[in-house]
Amino acid sequence: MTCQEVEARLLAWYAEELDPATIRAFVKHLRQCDCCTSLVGSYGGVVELGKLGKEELPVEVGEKLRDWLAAKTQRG
Amino acid sequence: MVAKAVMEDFAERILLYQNRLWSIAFAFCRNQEEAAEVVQEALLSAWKTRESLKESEKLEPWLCRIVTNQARMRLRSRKRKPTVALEEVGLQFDETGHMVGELPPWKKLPDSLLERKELVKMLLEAAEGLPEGYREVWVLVDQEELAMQEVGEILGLSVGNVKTRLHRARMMLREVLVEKLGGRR
Repeated sequence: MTCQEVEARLLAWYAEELDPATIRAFVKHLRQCDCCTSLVGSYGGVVELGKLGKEELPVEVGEKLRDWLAAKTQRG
Repeated sequence: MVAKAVMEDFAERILLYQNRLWSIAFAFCRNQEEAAEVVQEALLSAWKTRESLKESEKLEPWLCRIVTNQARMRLRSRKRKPTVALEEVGLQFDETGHMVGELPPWKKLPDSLLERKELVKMLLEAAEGLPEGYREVWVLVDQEELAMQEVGEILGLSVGNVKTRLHRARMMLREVLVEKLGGRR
């Protein structure tokens, strides 16, 4: 596997969509290539941080939305 | 009376998804008040157009699509604060497919929650500079953790197109992260 092929498979790697043979080739390449190890690590960093960036609905906002919807329902 | 009962039933069903809808709206607007307004506008729009919801269509993706559209319209009408537009990032490869140049060693993400929060904030700010079509996909897949198939249905894109946009968005954001954590690419 080449660096270009590693880059093309990054998304599938993190989505766990690669087949076993491709995973072996992917890992083998990483063992020999510092650039791709860095690329895979930093790409994974973006994926991980993206998940941490999700905001939950604050309770008070949820209550306001419920009240608003209830008022709309009452009016019909 | 019947209309009221129908609306109450509809409202009850919608409330099941209010967390997700708000979260999507907030991911686009980055502002609580605006996000709440977007959800309200979306719910009104959902009520008005409820008959367009096909029998076979699931309520959640349908609502997500309406919220995404509302948020998109809101962002377009908003005077956007100047953000650094991220450029399409292309790594350089030679004719044998090997990377040209060197990437600096990747420093792993810090363990400290505070430092991570700072990085998340930086990443979210950077995401505002993504092209609209990339940002939408990134928000829905990486933040909302929706399946790519669902995102395709919400945005009217093929799964292949979702993957391409997501990969490009991540590569652009990676540049920002690397700059912060490990020097230049």
